[in-house]
Formats: sequence, structure tokens, C-alpha cells
Amino acid sequence: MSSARPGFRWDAINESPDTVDDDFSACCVQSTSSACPIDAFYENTGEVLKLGLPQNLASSPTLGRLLTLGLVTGAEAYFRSIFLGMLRICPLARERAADQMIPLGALEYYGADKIGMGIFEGISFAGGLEVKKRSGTLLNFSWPATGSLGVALSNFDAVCHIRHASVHSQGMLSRGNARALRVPPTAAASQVVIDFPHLQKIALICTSLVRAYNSDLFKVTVDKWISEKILTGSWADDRKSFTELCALFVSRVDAVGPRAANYRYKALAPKIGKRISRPKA
Amino acid sequence: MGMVEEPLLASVFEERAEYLSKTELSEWTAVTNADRATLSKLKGPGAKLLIGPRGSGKSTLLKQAYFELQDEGKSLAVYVNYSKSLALEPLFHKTANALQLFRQWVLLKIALGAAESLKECQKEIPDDLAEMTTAADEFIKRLEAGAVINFPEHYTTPTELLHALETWTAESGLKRCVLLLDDAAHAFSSEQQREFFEIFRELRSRGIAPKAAVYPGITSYSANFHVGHEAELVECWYRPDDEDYLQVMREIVSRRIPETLLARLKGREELIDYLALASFGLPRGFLVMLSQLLGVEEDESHRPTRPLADKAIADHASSVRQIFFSLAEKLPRYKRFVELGGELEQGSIRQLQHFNAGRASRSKATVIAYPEPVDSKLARMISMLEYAGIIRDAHTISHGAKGVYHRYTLHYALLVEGNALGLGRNFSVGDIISALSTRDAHALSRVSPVALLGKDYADRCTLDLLPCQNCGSPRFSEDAQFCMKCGRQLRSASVYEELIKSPIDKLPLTPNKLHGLLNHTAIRTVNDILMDEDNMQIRQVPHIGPVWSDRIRRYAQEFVSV
Repeated sequence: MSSARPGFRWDAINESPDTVDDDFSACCVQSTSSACPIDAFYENTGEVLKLGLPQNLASSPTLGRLLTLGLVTGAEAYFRSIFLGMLRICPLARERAADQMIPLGALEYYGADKIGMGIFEGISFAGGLEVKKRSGTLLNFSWPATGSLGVALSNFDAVCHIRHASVHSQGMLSRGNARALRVPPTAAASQVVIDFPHLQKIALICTSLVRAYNSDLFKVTVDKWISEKILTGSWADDRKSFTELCALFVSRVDAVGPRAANYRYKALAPKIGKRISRPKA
Repeated sequence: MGMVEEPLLASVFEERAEYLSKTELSEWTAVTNADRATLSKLKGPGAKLLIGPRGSGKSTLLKQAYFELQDEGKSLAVYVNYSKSLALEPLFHKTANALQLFRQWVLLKIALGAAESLKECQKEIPDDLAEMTTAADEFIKRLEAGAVINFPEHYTTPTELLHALETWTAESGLKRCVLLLDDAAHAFSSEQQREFFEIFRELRSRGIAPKAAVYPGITSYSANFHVGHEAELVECWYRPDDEDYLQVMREIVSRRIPETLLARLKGREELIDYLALASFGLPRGFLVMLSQLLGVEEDESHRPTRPLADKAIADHASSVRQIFFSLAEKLPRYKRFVELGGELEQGSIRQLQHFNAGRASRSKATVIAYPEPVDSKLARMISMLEYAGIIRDAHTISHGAKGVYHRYTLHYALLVEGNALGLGRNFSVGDIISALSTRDAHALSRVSPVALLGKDYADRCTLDLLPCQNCGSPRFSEDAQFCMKCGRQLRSASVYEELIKSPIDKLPLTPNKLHGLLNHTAIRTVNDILMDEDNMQIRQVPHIGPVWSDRIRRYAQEFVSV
């Protein structure tokens, strides 16, 4: 009896796959945060950073990259929330967004109150370009590149390149990432490894951006509400909208300035009064 | 002999070169051979770093180079003083583009300096320079006043300024542009320091030669700036052990002091040598002590005496130490390093006192030697002491099997005040002069810093990091920007804003002047002095005239500057 030659073993490349179901419904819990966008950002940042102890980061090159993702996500969430908030409370933003297209299913999923979220489906705010574009189209908000916000956004862009490399290629920098990070081209590919000081710096960059954006957008919005006479000069009439505006922007965590909206309104009264007495251009 | 007739006393004892006129500078400054060599390097091609502690004469040399270049008419000399850079430090806590604002401030001050220089040489100012400087002046003033402002219409980069300077130089028919950048150390803001030296590196070309005045010890450079390669180090510090040192200092006196005051020193010339040696090669200290010896604005009738000279030296020693201890305010994280540095200095004085006791005059040592290795904490303490001029690097020496030692000369005023020369109780001025000027240059005392500071000094030498202002948790490390317990950002106070709130006893004032200010004025803080227009309040104090009032203002300005 001749022995047959064994056939090619196609299963001898790696271990076989397992059967797994794709039910993650237990992981999807109701969001409970009621903080304003900037305070929600602070909360996320704090929680992420607590996981980034120096010894943990030193022993795991992956951890720093993952935590970077966590920090940038927090900044992205801030932008989504602030845009949504503005669409909800600012008539000027609503007017600009009136012609935006959204998927039909967004109405059922988000509800009428948060229908604006449909505009941002599939959009990433992990990059200065999209932040600038949406700020312009939806809010008519722009800024000079060399101003505080311009520089903060530029720094955030650099961080987003680190995040991009972390998410898509285990920290390996693409040519575009390397150029943006001013890493000189070398024969060996460069990989991002985030240690404690750099993770802290990334958090600082994200924080500076959110703060600069938050305070500048608030100022620009108030100025527009005054010039467009959305603020009438009567606290009784302006109370609801101005209180909503302060609730959206004013940080309770930072606690700088008066907490009550009417104190802030009083400080604006002379400016509002001056505008009201001028005929609209 | 003084060539200027009856100058104002305030100018005579004006220690800072940038406040002297061209005539005064030229006629009152004694120029040594070493100075000539330094001036040649400052006026010539290539990037240079002029290094020396406070009062060593850096500004004098830069200003002299400036005036000589103008007289020679071949180069465009641009003098810029950056002493107000710390006033911009609060911006780093208020806005994300502080670095960009600082960069513009550095560059536009150079443009303004170029326009000023062309004006002084009666040359035409190019249109683009005139346009640049129109907005620059207001921008600079507002920035130095702490305002967060927008950029001028056109954002200038170092490369653009470099090309512009080359063009302006050529259009003016000149060969080269020499940038003389004074008070450029930016020692108390690491962000400013890094940015400045990046700009300095970029402002070099065949036609542009930048020179910057920096301090020893605490000046650190940007990652891309390699001292020695990017710029040559040129030392600016008279050597009190040089043969012609006393002659040079006597010449400063004869050139500067009017006849009426010089007459008081007749027959007491050795007191001039005494103070000259005590000044440790630093002309500013010499002038301060001299004015005290001559009783300027104190008692016009008294004669200079040995006790007065001793008092002037003791006060000067105290003032030098004050400059060192002020580092605890300017670099609050290094407060404990400053404390230990003070102990190191005191311990070194005692060590020398012990070493010198009973030794012949020629064998007295003024040099202390610490063995290698010098750890990073000790190195930082030493660098701070160098900045203040308390010690001077006397270079490393190998003692064969005994090992390698780092040598440092201690400030002579501290040695005299601490009686570290071991001259006994009743020594004459001549004894001290002899001990300091005719000793063996190789005499030194070897001592381990552990012997002076204790075995636990490394444990005591920790960074003073403020705890979290929210939850009170200690800061995790120097690199922490956020609290690892509550997640809130860790806030650091602005160094500048803390400095201007400091009480006036932080300034190197004599006790009399301090009490005078406290008893006769409402001045309590450094900011009060800076805000005192025309020194009106300060002048109300008895025995404070133009010399002392200007000096007090300058102490306040220096306290809040680099």
C-alpha cells in the first residue's frame, strides 16, 4: 500500500477564528451628563488623565496613544455640543442652518429637540479644518490665524495628527502626519510614543482650544445678539434667551465672574441700550 | 581727570550704561586691552554671546560697540534692550498666542532699533521700515503694559526681518548689520528663552551679525541652539587678579568722579583699591560702593574712612546676596535650591576662613573646589550662584589620583565681609589688598559639598511645587499640568504679577533707605516704586536725591526684569 502525500494544510497559517455574537446593547447606557459643553469637556479630560500615571505610560506605549484619543474625543464632543446648543438657542444660527441636509432617520433617533445632531453625523472634529468650516457656515464665526484662537487651533491640529496615527496605524506616522508634526524625514518610519509630560501637554492644548473657542464664540454671539436687536434691553424679555446663552457657555467649574445671568446682563445693559437707540443698519 | 565739567551727580554714579549719553560713556569708561578685544568681536562678523553677571559691563560694551560702529560708518548698528521681557510673561497665562506675540515684540524692537540707528546717522529711513515702525511703537508699548492685543497688520517672521535688514543695510550703503541685543537672557521664562534663541539663530547671515548679552549659569538655550557652534561665547568680567586691574579701576575713578569729590579721596587712595577688589571685577558694584564711601546724598561733609569703606563693602555683600535670594521669587519652583545655595555659599566662606587661618598672605585662597561628579542639583545651585555673581567659574582642574575638581572663586566682598581671608581682628586695608592681589593663583581649598550641606542635601533639594488649588493634593511632578486626583488644571501664578506685588524689602536697599521709604512714603511694594512718576514720592525721603532715587527705581526695574 503506498502512502499518500499529505495535501496542503490551509488551516496551518494561524489559529482558527471563533464564533462571536455582535450584541452590544448592554454597553449602551443613557447619557446622564447635564453639564454645559465646556464643563463636560473638563470632566472627560480629568477622567482620561487620571489613567495616565507616569509609570503606566512608561510601561505601555499603547496607553499614551489611547489616552490621546480620549482627550481629542473630548474636544470633539465639545464642538458637537456647542454647535448643537447654538442651533437650539440662537435664531441667527438656526437661520444659517435652515438649508442643511440631514438624514430622515435622524428625526426619529434624536428627536426634534436634538435634530441638529443629524447635521454632524459622519463629521469628525478631529482637525482644525472642519472646526473652522462649520464655525463659518453655521455660526458665521471666524478668527485670524495669529490670534489666540487661531494659534490654539493650529496646536490642536498637531495633536490631531498624533491622534490620527494612533487610531489608524498603531502610532506609525504617515508622511502627512510627519510633515504636520515637523518630524524630519528619516529612513526608518517614526512612531508616536506618548509619555507623561507629552500627554499633559496634549491635554493642555485641547483645554486651551476649548477655552479660547468658548470665550470668543460667546463674545461674538452676544455682540451679534446686540447688533441684531435679539437682545431688546428689557430683562423681562431677554431673560430666557440670555440665561440659556449663559447656561451654554459659562463654566461652573472655572467659576470666574458672576454665576447669575442677570448680573452679566446688567453689565451689558449700557451696550445694549446704546444699540437700541441707534437705528438698525 | 574728568573731561566733563560739573556733571550731574546722578549721571556720575549712574551704573547702567544704557542711561549714559555717548559723550559720558566715551569719557567715563576705562577701556582695557581685554575690552578692546571684546569690542572687536562685538563689532565684527559672526554671532556672539556676551556673558557676564549683573553689573559686569555687558551693556557698557554693547553701547560702546554701538557708538563706535556708528562713528566708523561702515555698518548698521542696531541696539535693542529686552529688559522688559518679563512684563510679557503674564500673557502666557492669558492667551494661546503669547509666543507669537513675544516673537513679534522681539522682531519689531529690532526694526525700531534699526530706524533709530539710521536716524541718528542721519540716513534716510526706507519706506517699508517707516511703515513697519509706525504701528510697532504702539504695539510694543501696549504689550509691555500687559495688554492682550491684536497683531499689527503685517505679521513679521524672522526670515522676513533678516532679508529686510540686509536690504536696509545695502540701501544705506553699509557693509554689514550688527545687532546688539542687550538683556537677552530671558532667564525667568523658559518659553521666552527658547523662542528668543530660535529667533537669534535665524537672524544670522553673511550680512547680519547678531550679538546677545546673557547671564552665566541660568541661561538655557533652545534645543536647536548649540553654544559654541551657533555663537561664540565672549566673557565680560574683569579679572581682579589681572595685573592691570587696579589701574583700570583707578582710571574709572579719575575719568568719572568730578574734582570736588576726588579731593575727598586725597590721601585715602588705598580705599579705592580696597573697594575695587571688593567689587570683584564688577564696575557697577564698584560705583555703588564708591558713592557710599564718598557720602553722596548722605553727608556731604564727611571724609572717606576705613569704617565707611567696610560698611560699603558689607552693604554691597548684602546686596549681592539679595540678587541671589531674589531668584526664589523669580523661579519659585527652585526656592529650596536657592535656600541650599545660600547654605553652600556660607559653608564655602567658612571653609575658606578655616583654610586661610594662619596662612601667609601669599598662600591665602579665594577659590573653593568641589570634587567631581557634580550632580544635577548641585549644578543648578552653582549656576544660580554664578548668575548672581557670587561665584565665578575658575574651570576644572585635575589633581591626578586625588580626582578632578570644579573650581570657583568667591565674590571678594563676601570674603571680606565674612573675614574669610583669615587676617585676624585688626588687619589694615593694606593687608587685605595684599591678600587679594598678591596671592598664589593656585591656592585653593578642596571641600565636598556634602561636608558643607549634609548628606541629606539631595533630599532637601526638591522642587517647590504648589499643590492643586482645587483639592489641595500635592503636584505629581514638575511636568504635571493637571491634578492627578481631581483632574483640574494646575494653575501657576504669573511670575511677573507676583514680583510686582513683592514688598520693597526684597530689593537690595540699605537698611537706612528701606526705613526711609517705609517711614516717609506710602511705598510698600515694588509696583509702588514703578508707578511713582518722576520718583516724586521717593525723593521725599531724607538723604535720597537724584542718585539714590534713580538707583531705587533701577533696583525695582531689575527686580521685575531678567
